[in-house]
Amino acid sequence: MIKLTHIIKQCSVGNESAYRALVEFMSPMLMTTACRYISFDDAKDVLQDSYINLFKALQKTKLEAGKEALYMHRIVINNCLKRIKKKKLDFNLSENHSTQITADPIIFDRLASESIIELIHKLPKACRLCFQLYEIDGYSHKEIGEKLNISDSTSRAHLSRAKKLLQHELIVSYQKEKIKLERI
Amino acid sequence: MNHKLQDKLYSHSTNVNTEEIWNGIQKKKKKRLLIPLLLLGAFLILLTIYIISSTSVTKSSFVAKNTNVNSTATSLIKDSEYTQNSNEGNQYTSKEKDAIHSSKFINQKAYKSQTKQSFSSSKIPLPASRKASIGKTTNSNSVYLHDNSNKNTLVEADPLKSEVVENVFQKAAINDKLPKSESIELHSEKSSFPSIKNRNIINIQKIETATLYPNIDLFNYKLKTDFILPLKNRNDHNLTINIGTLTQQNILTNDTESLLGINTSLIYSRRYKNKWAFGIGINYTQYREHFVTVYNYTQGNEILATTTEIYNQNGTVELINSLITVEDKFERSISKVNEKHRLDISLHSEYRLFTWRNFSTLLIGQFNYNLLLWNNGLENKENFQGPYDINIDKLNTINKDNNLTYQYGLQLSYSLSERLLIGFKAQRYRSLNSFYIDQDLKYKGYIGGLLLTQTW
Repeated sequence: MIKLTHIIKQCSVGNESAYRALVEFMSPMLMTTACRYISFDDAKDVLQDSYINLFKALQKTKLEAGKEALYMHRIVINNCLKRIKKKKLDFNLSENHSTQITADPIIFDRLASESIIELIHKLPKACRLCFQLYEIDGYSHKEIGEKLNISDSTSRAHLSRAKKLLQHELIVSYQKEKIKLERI
Repeated sequence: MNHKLQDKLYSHSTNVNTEEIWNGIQKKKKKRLLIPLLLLGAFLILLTIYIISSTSVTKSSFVAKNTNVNSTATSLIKDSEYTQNSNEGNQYTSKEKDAIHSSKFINQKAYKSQTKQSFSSSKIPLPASRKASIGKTTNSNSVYLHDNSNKNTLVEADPLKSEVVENVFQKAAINDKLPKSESIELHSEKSSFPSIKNRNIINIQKIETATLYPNIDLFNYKLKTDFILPLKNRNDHNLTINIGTLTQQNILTNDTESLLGINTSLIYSRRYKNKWAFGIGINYTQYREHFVTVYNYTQGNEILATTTEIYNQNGTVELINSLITVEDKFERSISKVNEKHRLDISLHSEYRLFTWRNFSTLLIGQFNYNLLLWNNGLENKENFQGPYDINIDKLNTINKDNNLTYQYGLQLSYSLSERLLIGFKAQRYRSLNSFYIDQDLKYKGYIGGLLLTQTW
């Protein structure tokens, strides 16, 4: 974190090599965030745009120490959402859903990042968006509604459906693992 | 929000080619710079096209007008009325008169050539207003007249068989405003010809209405049919700003070298009788000289030095010292640029020699009276006198009697639009009096400069 703070400081002064260092340091992490929302090829394009926006912003504003990474992730997410908006996702819920079932957060702690990402990608697009924005990226339902042009309740509904589906997937994958182990 | 989940995923790395990302960023930055530059370039190109087309549109609109007027004038002139000893006067209607007067530029040559043509065998069409005054007409090309003996009988007349009287033109005074044409009645000889129907001889007096066109000074108004010299820079008031480089012919002293100076002026002038213009303004001149000199001098010093050494037999050495004079050689040099500034009030005059299309050549003259003068460079005398042995007063423009300078030369101007001219001028300048107190040396040299004139 100290290293990132130092690089950001140099970038705000306009140090060209600091820009390069920042790109090399943060690109793997930011790429993960971008790939959660859009395809890999689109994610590269979005990442480049995000860096240009970031370099401009660093000239004008001073970032809070310790929150630089969060700020950068937010920039990437905003650019991803801009790209997604162009595709006009359907946020209408077709099935009846229940708001009672929630996925246990402890489960995610035990899972590896790759598994979590894999699970999330299995969700429908609209549900995946709402789940990621709420559970991972820390947006409120109101903010999600503003960003995706949907109502709060729609956001909540998609979130609960996402959790239900995740739970179902977790159970299925757990049972498959169990069968594998039994065979061994 | 699940903070642990967030931390886990935010710190997770995905394999990505950072070099590719960096190159992409650089390309996008360049693209973003390119778009405003392209827009600026397109804007400059459009502005240039607009400036060029605004001059050409003026020409074409004049040409179109001219063509229309020529044809109207020609048809009107060919047109002639036949009436029975009538002095009613077949004047041109106001609309027809307006058609003539509305045109500012008339092709005199074209007009003259047209009037010399003999009338062709085709019948002359009459304008509708005339037809009504005559009587019935069966077709647009026929004229029916009242018979002398029986006014109720209409007979057809063939005006082509009559003799045509050549029109007479009167010269009109030329002034800055466009001359107006006048309509006069020319009474021709009586001619007679047999009528078709009853073979009675009908005496007809032909009255032609001619339009008097003034003698046009082609130099001032028009040169060719396909190009009309508009009233560009024919406006009365001019404001000219000029900036030029000044070269000097003087070699002031052996140590001085003349450098390029500046001459700039702002002149208001007013045009009189098209060719002359007189004005007043401010003129600023800066003369620059490079002064360089080297002064060699020696300085003598007395020092006590051992001149003789005596070696005694007892082993002692005696040293005999004496005062001797030693000469030291010194060299001092100075290199300085001296600027002489002059602010003058100027009287300006110009005479237009000739004009071709949008170019015009003028003879220009300017008389400057000095208001203010000051120097930069050698103003601190104390620093330069002494070992240098130079006369600062000689190098500075201390002579306050030297108030008058004059410039004369040639100017070539080009009209960018109706009210804007750019040009180049080359002038010789001289001072009336010497610039020095004790030396008869007048400043002289050449000025070459660019100028911009706004007229209204």
